[in-house]
Amino acid sequence: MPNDDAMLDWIPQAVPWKNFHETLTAPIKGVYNVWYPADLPRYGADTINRCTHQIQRALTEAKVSGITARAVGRGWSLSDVPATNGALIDVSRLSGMKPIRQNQLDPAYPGDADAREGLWLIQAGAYISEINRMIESDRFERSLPTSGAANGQTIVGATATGTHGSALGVSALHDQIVAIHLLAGDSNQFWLERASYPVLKPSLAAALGAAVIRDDALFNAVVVGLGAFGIIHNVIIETRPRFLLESVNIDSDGTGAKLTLDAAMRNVIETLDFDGHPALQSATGLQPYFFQPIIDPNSNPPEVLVTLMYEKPWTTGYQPDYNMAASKFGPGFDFLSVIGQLLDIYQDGVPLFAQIAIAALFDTNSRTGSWGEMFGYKTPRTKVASGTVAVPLNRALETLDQLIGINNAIGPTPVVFGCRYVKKSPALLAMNRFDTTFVVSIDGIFNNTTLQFFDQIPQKMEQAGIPFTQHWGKTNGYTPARVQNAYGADLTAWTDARHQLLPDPGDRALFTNDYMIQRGIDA
Amino acid sequence: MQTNTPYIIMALSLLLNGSCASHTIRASQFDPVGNAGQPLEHGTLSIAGRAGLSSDGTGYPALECRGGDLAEVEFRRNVGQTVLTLLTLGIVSPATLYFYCEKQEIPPPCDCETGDGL
Repeated sequence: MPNDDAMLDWIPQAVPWKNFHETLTAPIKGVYNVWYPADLPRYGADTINRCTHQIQRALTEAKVSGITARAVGRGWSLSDVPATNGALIDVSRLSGMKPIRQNQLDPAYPGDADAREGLWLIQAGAYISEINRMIESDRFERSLPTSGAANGQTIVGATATGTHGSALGVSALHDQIVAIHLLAGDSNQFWLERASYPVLKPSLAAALGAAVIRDDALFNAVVVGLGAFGIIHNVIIETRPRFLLESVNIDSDGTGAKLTLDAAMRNVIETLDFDGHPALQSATGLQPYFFQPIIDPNSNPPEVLVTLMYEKPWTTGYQPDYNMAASKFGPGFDFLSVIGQLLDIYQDGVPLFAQIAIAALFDTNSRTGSWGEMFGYKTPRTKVASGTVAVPLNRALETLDQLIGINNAIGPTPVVFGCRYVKKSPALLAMNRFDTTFVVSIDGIFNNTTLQFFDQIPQKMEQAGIPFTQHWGKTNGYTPARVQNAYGADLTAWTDARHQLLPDPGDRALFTNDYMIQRGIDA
Repeated sequence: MQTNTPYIIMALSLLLNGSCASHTIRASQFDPVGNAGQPLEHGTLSIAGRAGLSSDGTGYPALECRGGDLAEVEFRRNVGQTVLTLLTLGIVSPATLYFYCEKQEIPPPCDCETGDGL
């Protein structure tokens, strides 16, 4: 057994921790960094066990010190869901990945022949960018069916908080997970699968020393677990054969007139009937794989920019280019912070700024690329605002009207509304809990007006009687009552699952943070 | 009093803009890793430029990366550092480096058919 003590280091932190986007701080005691073994063994059971031991060491030390602990990856979330007053355990260096072999599969695995070819075991800290590069390679020829808009998150950081995309008929990223390796405290580990969806023979779990649990409710609780169940160390995801996307951005109709939120656009947004809009119908009759209308609430009538992506077969010899675009003159890290403060003072400048920003950022040239190219590197480390509201598709238009109403009431807010569509998830605390969940991502500049806007969303939705959820990893207005209203019996089942997997109150306390307490999900 | 106004404006401009200066270089495909999402940080001091002395000699070895590559480096100078630079006419010039390491390259996942312990 090698001496792996160097795989774990502790960096005390004297100043508050900041998330990646620098929108929040937390008074942490320090960070445990968990390193992949220095001898760089291949990712497999032995390596996993060595990493598991170090994570458990960190958890033991935190318990002995009487402080709380939470796993963190890139710190990508815009809410304080990963925050703690104790120790953050940074697992972002743990990036092992490997395809599952056919002979490892449980004969009862319900996936078809293609699905059997596309199961991947992935360690918690693997970034979406790394996964894309690995699985889209000529060696493996797979793609993620969906992901968030950027590729910087870790796989578990993204899924445990409910990250989604807008691939039509596809559910969220967490719904691609079919098995979970959970470290529930500093000694217990579980291999979780759904009873209704068995995946692996027990040999891997046995090699890890993890107790196998096949239980739909427990799995559905942990998969969007918000870090409350312990540390998810590895997951198995399902991928699909690799494919290309042809992306078309549209901001005007055939006459050059700007697209607006008119009756035809409202119909598309609510029904996804693209033939009903002359500018959005496909010449080839193809249905888009991805659809995202972006609404500028500060124009009158609200202008709409549409992104449509159509699936295309992979072209032999195609080599994705994952490099970031060449640099050009543009905003620096703190540009948006300063602009945000200025727009707080001079609110009337918001519409003009929005037009300038849209003109600079929205490229109407079509482009073709892989999933990993399309949802690639975004401008890093800048103070952005992002919140969401998710509703059943048949309440989409009412929701947009409510949001536009808030903007009209409090004055121009430096945000746009990105509309996305996600299939229903079985995860108990998934934001995508409606048959087709219509998600409005409210993105823009982080300032007081924007925060005021976010504050008003839940109130307006409640007043309008629209059932809604919000993204756990973005700015949200969840209170205990709102979480209860949104999730009802599923919240009870989630809490019960937590008690079952973490029966020791000390272990539950270890993974509890203020975010959970403020939302009444700390029981 | 009036004659001092341009100098005051120049000094304020130097302070405000000089202290906000930021220069960043990063790998074009970068999988940066820092400290729980935060960049790693290193204070540095240069005396009389390249001809003089530096707190890091000819360069700071990013031991935090444990022999790995750098993914991103940002050079920044805050207000205090700018004031000191101005007061010493640039002879003493402190700054802060914020950086991320590039993730360690993990061995490829296969020999996938024969297995390696899984």
